Amino acid sequence: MVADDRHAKLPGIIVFILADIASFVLFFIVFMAERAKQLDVFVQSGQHVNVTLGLINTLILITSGCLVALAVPSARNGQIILARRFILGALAVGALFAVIKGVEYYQKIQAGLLVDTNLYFTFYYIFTGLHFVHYVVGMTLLTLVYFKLKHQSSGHFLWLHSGALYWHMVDLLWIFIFPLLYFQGAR
Amino acid sequence: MDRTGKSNPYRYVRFCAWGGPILLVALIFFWGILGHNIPPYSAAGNADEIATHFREHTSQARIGMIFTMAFGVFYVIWGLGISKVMEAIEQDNNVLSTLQLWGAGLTTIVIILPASFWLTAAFRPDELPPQTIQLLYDAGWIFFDCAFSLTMLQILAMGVCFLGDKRAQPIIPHWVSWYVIWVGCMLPLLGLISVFKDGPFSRSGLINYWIEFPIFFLFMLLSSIYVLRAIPKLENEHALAN
Repeated sequence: MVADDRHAKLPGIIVFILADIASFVLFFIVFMAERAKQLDVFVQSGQHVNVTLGLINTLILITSGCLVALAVPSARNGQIILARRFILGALAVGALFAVIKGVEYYQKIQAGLLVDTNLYFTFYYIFTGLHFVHYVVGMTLLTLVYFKLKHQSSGHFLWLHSGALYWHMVDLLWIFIFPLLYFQGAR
Repeated sequence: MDRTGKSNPYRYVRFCAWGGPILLVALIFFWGILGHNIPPYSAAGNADEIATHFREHTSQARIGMIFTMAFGVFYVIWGLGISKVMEAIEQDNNVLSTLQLWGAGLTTIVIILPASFWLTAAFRPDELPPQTIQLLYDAGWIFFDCAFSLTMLQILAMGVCFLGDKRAQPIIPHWVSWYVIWVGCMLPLLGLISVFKDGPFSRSGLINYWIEFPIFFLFMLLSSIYVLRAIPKLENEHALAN
């Protein structure tokens, strides 16, 4: 069965997403302004972050986002089982992000690079920490979407649409955070 | 009769809902202008700067903080007005409206208690060493900003409840609910004022003051407007049901 809400207008979550993106844009502007004041500190500190791990996490989120994007037309066409599989795939791939982030944090802490080391690392932990909170919420939302699709609960398409939009925001934020933090040390 | 058996469940609710705008105006004038909190003194500044302010503007600070404490009660009154609207949306139980009311009640303390610290600083500023005045000033701000979880409880319960409205035309528009939830999610950043003395995350910084306070005040204003608009709709629903 295809839900009646599949042609519904844009979900209200878009207000939250736009406001959230706007706040991150502001954070990025603040970061660039502070960077201009302490260019050497930011460039030197940027050499201590692992670009490879950051890149892998970027690919993970993009892949996971693609799978969620594929789930939406599947559900719209009534292929609920296929949509569920795409969501499950997105969750499985997305879970790797947390593992790699954990490894990164562990490496930083072992190297004594903490939130109060300097302003770059303050931003590093705040941005990646805030993004991680968004990621956890997104994974929870996708899990709920999976079960909503499984039980075909009322409004399951709206849940899927909202969950997909939110997950794309998590992707999008990371796509900006990655170069901003990880390419500071690049020559 | 509604489910509580009352013939007019919305008596006094309009007054309660006006509590938000009343408090908002009072806060801007007494806490903000008289209390010299637009913006506050930077945490990176020295103790003498804050002590001088309290010594030179003692009466102004006292009036500002006494009235901030007096008007603070309007926050819980406002919270009750919101709860009454939430009760008309809740279907299975009153968990969310109760959490919202508790959150609003506890946030009232977040307004009153820091004001009492600042009032204490203005009580005998000539006899206190600058560091003690600075301590009271810092303690007030740290409680004011770092007790964000109490307000977050109120805001998130409110947003989630409003989103659960199954009416074809929701009593509170969903975009307002999502804005409310976003404001709730932004509040934890305030906790960073306990770490930073300057920069965007400090108590007078771009993010934790110039962004957080306007979005919170806008939340109060928007919520009040839409709760006030919701009351006649609910009165009509109640009249039709009877």
